[in-house]
Formats: sequence, structure tokens, C-alpha cells
Amino acid sequence: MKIMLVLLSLFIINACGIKPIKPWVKAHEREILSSSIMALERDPISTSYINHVYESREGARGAKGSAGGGCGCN
Amino acid sequence: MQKAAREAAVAVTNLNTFLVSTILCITLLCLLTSAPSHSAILAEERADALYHSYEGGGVTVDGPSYLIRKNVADTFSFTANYYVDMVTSASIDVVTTASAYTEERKEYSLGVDYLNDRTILSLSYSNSTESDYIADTLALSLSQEFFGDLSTLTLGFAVGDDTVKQTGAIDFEEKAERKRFSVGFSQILTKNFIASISYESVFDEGFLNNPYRQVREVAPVTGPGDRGFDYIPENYPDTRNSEAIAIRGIYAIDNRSSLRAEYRKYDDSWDIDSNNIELRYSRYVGNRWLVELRTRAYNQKKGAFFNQDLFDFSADGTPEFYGRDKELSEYSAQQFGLTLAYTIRSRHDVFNNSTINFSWDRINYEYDNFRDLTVVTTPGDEPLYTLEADIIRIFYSVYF
Repeated sequence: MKIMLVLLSLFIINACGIKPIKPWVKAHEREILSSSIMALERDPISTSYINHVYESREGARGAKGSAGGGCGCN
Repeated sequence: MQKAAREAAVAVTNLNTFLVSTILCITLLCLLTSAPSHSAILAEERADALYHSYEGGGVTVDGPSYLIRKNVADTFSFTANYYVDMVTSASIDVVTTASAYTEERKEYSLGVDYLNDRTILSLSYSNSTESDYIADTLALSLSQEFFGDLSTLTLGFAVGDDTVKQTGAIDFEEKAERKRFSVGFSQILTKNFIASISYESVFDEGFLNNPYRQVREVAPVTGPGDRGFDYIPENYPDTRNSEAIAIRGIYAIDNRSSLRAEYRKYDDSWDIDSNNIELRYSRYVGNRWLVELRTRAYNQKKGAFFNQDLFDFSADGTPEFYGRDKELSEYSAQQFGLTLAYTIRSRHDVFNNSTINFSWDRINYEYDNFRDLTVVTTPGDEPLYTLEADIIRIFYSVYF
């Protein structure tokens, strides 16, 4: 949590406009980044389902995006 | 101990609430006073119809899921999801302590995203209903782009209200509340590499048992039918506080293939400690096919009150909490999976392209201290339980 707070503070300071950082990847250089193979999660309906499977059968939860409610654990 | 644990957990969640609220307020103030550069964009309009199936360990869960996203005036994006789990369970828990059953769970979700320059504010509500469990969840999140859209910060808060019932016990009704706090940050590092870090804290309070699950207690053998143990209901703490942090990265090997890696670390106030790692390789094949291969490994240490698979209260005393839920035990899981996606080019103006997707995953679970009680032998000497599960997702997606 502390690490996240430090990171957040740095970016909040930047968002306040102390000194704008020029983007080092230009818009015309983002063709590959916009491709389907570069999406961290391509299909929300499919991701939501597999996260629900994990959360129902593992002790761990969180930091995975949304998962459905209910138990579904038996 | 219960009271002290509850007070400690409440203090942690109050601190998390304060920190996330403060960050949200400061960020909003800064954003309102900073000069905009580029505008964010709403998610792509699409409709999906999915069939899902989980089969393993005597359990079959399958059903449909439908999702639609429609944008209005480039400012609002509305989503609606309808999801069904049809459960037929003869799991190891069920066959050793009860009878096989069938169950249906339905979930409705509605959401709206509001776009203002580089900020997206999202609100969603979901309701999940089954005969013995009702869950309502309200979620709010704020997403903000920085640095010429190279960085995205996301803050989230969700609150859940669950009602737990028990089939066959008309008067049984308990409540559980859940709060989730999340912070995520993603960064475009180069023209072919994206990294992200996310943190989430979850706080539960209320009835956290499964009312059907039971632990084994050593009992004297008094007749030919006795197995040397009795079943008694589990007893869990009424609070649980967890933290998870995950890092993810995706790298374009070339303009037709990518490699994605993920690592997550988790721990909670029940002393469950776990981590998982996942790798995915994606590649275009020809002009219309996309293939993904993936593998995932999950390892977990047992919760504090999953002491062993056989309690001896008369010899060891009765602990304050005790459980035999295999999700609290020590175990590992290995997963392998494949996805094939085929793109259908649109030949008219009504829709853009659409895709047909097929995914299959196999997960092998190996439990280190949860035993297979279908094997009758000396109590405590039963073999350790293992199971294999097959997960199938077939879905059609169309883009507007």
C-alpha cells in the first residue's frame, strides 16, 4: 500500500501541472499498441468469467478486475 | 480475540477508506484545475454472447452470459450484462456430507461510464441471486490519463451486501458486507511495451462461513458403521481483511505476436498467503485467426484455522475457529489453455467486424492437507485430494 501511495503522489503532483512531461511515444508510433494482441484483457465477458472461476476456487481475491458476486464455491 | 480482530480490521478498512477518499479528492481537484491536452476515449461498442462451462471434481457449472455496450454522444457508455450459472454438484464436499444437488444463479449488471476530457467516471450495480445466496454490489471508479495518454491511473471503490440462507432451514438468514478498494496504474513504456501495477484491499464483515460445510472431529468407534469421526459445522471469524498486489506487462515481439506476463501476491487476516504467475503468448495467423497459448501457476499456504483435516477437540481443546474448506487449505494449481479467435469481416454498414472465439483451459489442483474422504481407511490416512477441471468458453462478439 505504501508503494502505491508513493507512486500515486508522484503522479498527482504531475497531474497538478508542475512541469508537463512530453510523451515519448508519439501518437503515430502506437499502431502496434492499439492491436488486439496488445490488450491486457481483450474480451471483458470472457475475462469476467475466468476471474469468477478463480475467485470461487482460490483463497485469493482482488487485483484482478471485476468478478461476479455470489458463492458458486461448492 | 474476535472483538479485537474485528476492531483491528475495522481500523484497517477505515484507514483504507480515508486514504482512497483523500487521493480521489486531491486527484479530482488537480484534474479540474489542470490544462487538458488529449481526450480519453470510451470503450468500443460491442455485443457478446458467451457459453461457459466448468467441469471437474464432480461439479458441472455452465450457462450463458450476454453483454452489450452502447455509447451515447461520445460522452456516455452504457453496459448491461446477464449471466447464468447452472450448477450440478456432486463435489467431494457434497458427496461426503450431503446429497448431490442442482442450483441456478442469475446475475444482472448495469453500468455507465461518463467521459470528460481525460477522465472516465464509472458507476455500476450488480445483483446475483440463487436460492440460498443474494449479493448486491455497487461500484464506483475513476480513470484518468496523463502524459499525453501514456499513463492511466484508476481508483475504485465497491460495496457489497450479501444475504446468506440455508436450504432446508427456513429461519436461517445471515448478512455479510464487503468493501473493496483498488488502485491501478498502467504505463506505455515504449512503442511495444505496456506495464501495469494494481492493488486491491477487500474487507468482509458478517457471516463468512459456508453454512453447509463441516469439519471432521475424532469420535470413538462404537459400532460397525462408525468411521472414527463426526462432522460438525465450521466456525469462521466474522471479519476478513485481504490485500493483493499484481504487476502485469505485455510486450510486442513483432507486429503479429505478443507476450504477456503477470505476477500477483496475496495475503489476508486469515493467514492465507498465495501467489500466482501467468504467461500468455498471442499471435495472428493469416489475416483472420488469432491464437493464444497460456499457462498459469497458483500456490497457496493454508489459513490459520485450517489446522488439519481431522480435529481432535477432546485431546487438543476446541479452537476458537475451525474450518475444512479446501479453498483454505494448502494447495497448488497448474493451468494450461488455448484460445482461437476468427474474425469475420463486415460486408455492410450495420456492424463492423465480428469474432468467433473458442477457449479451453485445463486446471490441475493438488491439495497438500485436504483429504479424499471417499476412500474409507483409518481417519487421517486418506489420500490427499486432487482434481482436474476443464473450462470452456465459446463466444461471439460483434462490434458496432
